[in-house]
Amino acid sequence: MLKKYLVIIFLCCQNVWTQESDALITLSYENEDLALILAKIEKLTNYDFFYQDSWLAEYKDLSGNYVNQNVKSILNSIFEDTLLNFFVFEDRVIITKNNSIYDHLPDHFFGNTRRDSSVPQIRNNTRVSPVFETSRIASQQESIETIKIGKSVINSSKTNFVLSGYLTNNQTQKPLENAIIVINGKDLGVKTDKSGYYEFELNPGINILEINAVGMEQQKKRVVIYNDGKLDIAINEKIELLDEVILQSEINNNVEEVVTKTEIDVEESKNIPLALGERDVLKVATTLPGITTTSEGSSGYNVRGGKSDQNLILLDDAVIYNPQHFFGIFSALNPFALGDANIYKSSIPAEYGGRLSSVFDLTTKDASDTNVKVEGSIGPVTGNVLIESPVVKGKSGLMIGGRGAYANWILNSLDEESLKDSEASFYDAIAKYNHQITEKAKIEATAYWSRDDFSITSDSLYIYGNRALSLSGTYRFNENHTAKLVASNSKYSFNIEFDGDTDNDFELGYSIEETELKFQFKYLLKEKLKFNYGVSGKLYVVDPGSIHPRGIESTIQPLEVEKERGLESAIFLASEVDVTDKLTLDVGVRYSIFNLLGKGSQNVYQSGVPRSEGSIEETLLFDKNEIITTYGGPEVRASARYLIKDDFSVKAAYNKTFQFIHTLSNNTTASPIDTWKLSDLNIEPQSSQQYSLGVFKNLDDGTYELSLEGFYKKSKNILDFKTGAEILLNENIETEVLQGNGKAYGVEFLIKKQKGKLYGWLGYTYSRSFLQLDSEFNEERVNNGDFFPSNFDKPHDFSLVINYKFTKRFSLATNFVYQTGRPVTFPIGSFSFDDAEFAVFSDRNKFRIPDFYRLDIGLNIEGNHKKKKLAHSFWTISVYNVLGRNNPLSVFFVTENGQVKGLQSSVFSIPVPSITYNFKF
Amino acid sequence: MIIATIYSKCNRKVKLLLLVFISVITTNCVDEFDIQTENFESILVVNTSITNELKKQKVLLSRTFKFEENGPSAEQGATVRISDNNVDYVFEEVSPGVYISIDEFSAIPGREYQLSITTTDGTSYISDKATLPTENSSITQVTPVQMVNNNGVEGVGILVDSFDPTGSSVYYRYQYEETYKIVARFWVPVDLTTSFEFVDRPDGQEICFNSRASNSIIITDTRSQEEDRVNDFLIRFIEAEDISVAERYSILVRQIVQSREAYGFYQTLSNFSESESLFSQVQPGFVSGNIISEKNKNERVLGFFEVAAVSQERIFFDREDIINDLPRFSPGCDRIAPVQSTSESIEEFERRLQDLIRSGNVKFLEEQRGEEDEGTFVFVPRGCGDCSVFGSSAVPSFWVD
Repeated sequence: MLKKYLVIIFLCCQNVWTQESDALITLSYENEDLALILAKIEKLTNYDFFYQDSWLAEYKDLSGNYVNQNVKSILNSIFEDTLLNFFVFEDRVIITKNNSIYDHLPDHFFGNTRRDSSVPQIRNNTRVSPVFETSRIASQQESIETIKIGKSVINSSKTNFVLSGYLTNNQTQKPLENAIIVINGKDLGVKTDKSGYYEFELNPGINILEINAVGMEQQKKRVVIYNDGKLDIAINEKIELLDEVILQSEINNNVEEVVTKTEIDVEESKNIPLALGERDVLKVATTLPGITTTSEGSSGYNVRGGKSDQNLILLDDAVIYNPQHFFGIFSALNPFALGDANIYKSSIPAEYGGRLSSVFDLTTKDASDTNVKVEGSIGPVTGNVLIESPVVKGKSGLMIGGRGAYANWILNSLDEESLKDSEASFYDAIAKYNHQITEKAKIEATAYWSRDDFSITSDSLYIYGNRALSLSGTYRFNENHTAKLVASNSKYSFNIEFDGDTDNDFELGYSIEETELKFQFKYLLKEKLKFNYGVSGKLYVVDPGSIHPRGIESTIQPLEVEKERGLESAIFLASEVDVTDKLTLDVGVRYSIFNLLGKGSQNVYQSGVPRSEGSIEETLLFDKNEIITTYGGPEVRASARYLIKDDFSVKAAYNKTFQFIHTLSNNTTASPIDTWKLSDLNIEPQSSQQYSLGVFKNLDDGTYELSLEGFYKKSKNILDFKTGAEILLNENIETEVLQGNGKAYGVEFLIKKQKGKLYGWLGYTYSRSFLQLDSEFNEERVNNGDFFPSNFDKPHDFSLVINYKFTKRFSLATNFVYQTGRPVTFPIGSFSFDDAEFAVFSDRNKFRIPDFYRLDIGLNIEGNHKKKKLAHSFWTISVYNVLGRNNPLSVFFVTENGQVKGLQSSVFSIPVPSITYNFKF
Repeated sequence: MIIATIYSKCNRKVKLLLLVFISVITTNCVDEFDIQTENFESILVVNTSITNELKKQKVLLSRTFKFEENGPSAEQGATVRISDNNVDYVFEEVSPGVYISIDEFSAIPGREYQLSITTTDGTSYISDKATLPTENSSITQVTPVQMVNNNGVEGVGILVDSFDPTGSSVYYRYQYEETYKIVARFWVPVDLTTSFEFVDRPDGQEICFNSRASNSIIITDTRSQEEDRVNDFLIRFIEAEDISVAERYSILVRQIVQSREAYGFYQTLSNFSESESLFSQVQPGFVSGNIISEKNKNERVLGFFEVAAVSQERIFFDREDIINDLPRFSPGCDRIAPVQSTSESIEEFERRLQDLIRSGNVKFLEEQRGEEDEGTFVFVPRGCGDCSVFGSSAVPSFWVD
């Protein structure tokens, strides 16, 4: 309360002891508060004391008796058993807590000065520098509590002080055993004993303590050591301990983590301008190196040269097959519901499997169990609202979100004549329930649903959608051992309704459904050895399609291609070992087995001739649940990190993956009506091996994060098709399939600035992605069996995201992307056939469409920050494609009136402004 | 630009101002661009269907050409031969790139046919062996109906029905040749010469005929049908204001039953040449057929040697019977009546008239006589008085009025 003067740490050197200080006084007191005692001294002398009341409050009921002693010795005696120091400057006594005031600069403060040889060295050469707190650190790491320990003793020659204390569980008040306290960056680490007691020696000055106890929240304390002292810490329990806790304050996390993951700041994603003002967490991911989309309006992501079907996209552990609406232009995931978004592209942890390239691990946030929260947005295309409400106060909460597009008129405003009659609308909904049953057990349930309706021509309507359900329970046996059980079910389906003028109206349906049970354990054996192990089983049911007549008049014959069922089982074990303080290994192995199950029929083809309906030798029939074929093998996932410095590390990883399902698509870009197919007797599973090596460096206390990573990836049995293959409802799809090898390599560079008014990142990737389709038969060979660039081979990929915060309310965001144009197959001439001209196409992907670049600018305006205001509002005004660049989406060739014409299409060829209103209360 | 302002009042007396401000939201465009040929490769193109009709069979040979060029160059001087199990049919070149069998023959079920070609540079090409698919399907009906096409234009649709009771035909391709009558509405029996004398108009300018052949791939299949029945399959749509349906129209529809492989070839070709959905692009590539070079297996050859079963049907209809209520073709028959202007001498005016007649763009219609003996000549655009602009006066042999 009384902050009489600002304490100035350095004062000019002077002889501070005036004559008066030697005045002798007599003083006695009994059971008095320190403040009163000091007041007495003030009366007896000319001294004024300067202090904060709170510092003195704890010293009560003091007694003492001093006769004819000087003030200094009296004060020395009074403060002996306290944490207080004092400093006398003329007639003022400045009292400090913990630290002491020095009247001279430390030695070598101005570098090495020439010593006066006449003055003998008195001090021995041990560490005697005073302890200074620098305000810079204090302000930048405000989230860490700072605790001062002990009392500074001037000219102390002690180099180590003892810190001891007890760790307790804040909830149970019981001692925490085996908790580990690590001093950041130092070789010190200690474990608490049965009573939660710890004791270790520390250097004076700032020490960051990191307390890790199983089942407890990770704690970080900044401890400023002045002297020996005690520190008791009560720690809160943490239940979702299977998730990694990422504290923003862990400034070197990106350097220290062993398995590199790309983390998308969900909250920050709202600041990045996107098409039509729609927030999209996954679009933000594509501004980071290694993650791209084939083109502006295409579904799916290509991670490190992999096909878009090679990503495992999980929402609360349930697979989402198509996380995008409207051909990839909008995200199908409600941005308000997302809590964390992590992408693994380098090394995939052993607990995940079934896809080759990456894991997008998205988790929803927990619904609030304390109060009702509403969040919403209104944009030009969609309206979105999310409500959270407690169910049992303090224990459980429910979150329900819904989003819908009023996008029909977008299509109506398109210039394209053929799209005038089109319609497009989409919706998605999400619900989550989380319940903390006991301190040790928690359950979570998530349900997700999405649907898209679109028709490009007036006679056909396409409907596609996702469904995902997951139920998970987490249980903590003890501090070291936890278990998690997840049951999930996902479905992707589409439907085509054709209602034309003639009598062949039909309805065509496709669906894939998977149900997974996963049992996972985490075990901390020693502080330097952690295990993560478990089993999982997944049942796929694919309904490859059925066609039904629509209306009474239709002459379409109903047809159902037989269902496919497959069981993908896996057992996995991963361990993180600290080999030395600097070298940590994360080694895991996953053994996957895939069984294709009956009932079903499989064709056996003659060898030595191309597969065709004519070369079917026999058709094998299998009964229900009979194993048709089995594939599988071990998948090694290993990564290592070596810390060269606290903020500088080298990481290497090797990754092997299997994938037992394939998308069937004869389009150059992924589309919502691509179907998925299980591996069978004739179609082998895909597999891939990736090697990566990277260096990670932080600068300026984590203000800048730098990384440079290279990778080389080989894959096998990548699926492709013969030219002009028929895919939908093809009962002998293997006669149209080609399987080949993939090869990708690249270097990714990223620099990120995390702090300050100006923040953002710059990413550059040079990477290549190739495919090889070779066979002894001409018709099964593409480009003479040589490697050729894949459809998403874009060597140069540059992204720049810059946000500037003018004030707390206004910020400007810009986003610039440059990419090499994707490869296309061009005609190399034309020919005449049946009186019409047709194009002759080149070798596949021999040419490229023009380079892609785009600049988006967004202005974010936060509503005013009045405390009493009910709703917090947030406006986003953005312009997408400011430069109006007409980026071609695709190039194609049509025959019209017997003449070949070349056409190119683009989605957003002019600047697209939009405004979105977000609110929260 | 749309500005919408929505005010909503919360029960907690909080006013939410929702302003939705959108200008042009999105434009999608498909632009045409000039194709330049790069890496041109000259490839032999073989276009032939041997049918079960007894006739001189035809094989067309050409080469691929650059986009900048006008059309294909014929492959001349090649030796073309088709052999079945025991007979060789030799072909001769009747015009550049057009090879016709010296003898008439028809494809016979059960025989295997093979095409071999040797070009002048000595390269020989050979096809896979092909057999005649079933001959059980025939066109049951060709019907003209008034309809609206996908672009909302009214006109006549030509629908085909066919049926194969054995269910073995399945893959169908269609070709057509349409022939139509053209009547010059403002035909008069006389012409005006440049010396302003009336002479008899030559024959063949009042009623003409013109023929056009299909120039696209028209295919369908009955794989998903209960029966092997093609029902109301639209093979041709003619806009109501097209000249071909101005009077009387006839169409000869040829149905070609194909093998699955041949159908696949045509289907791929057709898929690659159609306008596509905005958001997806079919992976294009070289369409391989069933003809290879004997020497170099990697040499690319375009085309598919097929043996097909043909059935055909011709129909006639008059405009009045189908689309009487729709607008009709008109070449734009405004009357042209030149008059002497005041600044013009009579010689100048006559010279102007003579130039007009000499240009051939107009046809004499009538002479308008005033009260005095001076007449004004009235003309119409040539197409209104002379049908030979649009066709030839020879009446096709099959024509039935």
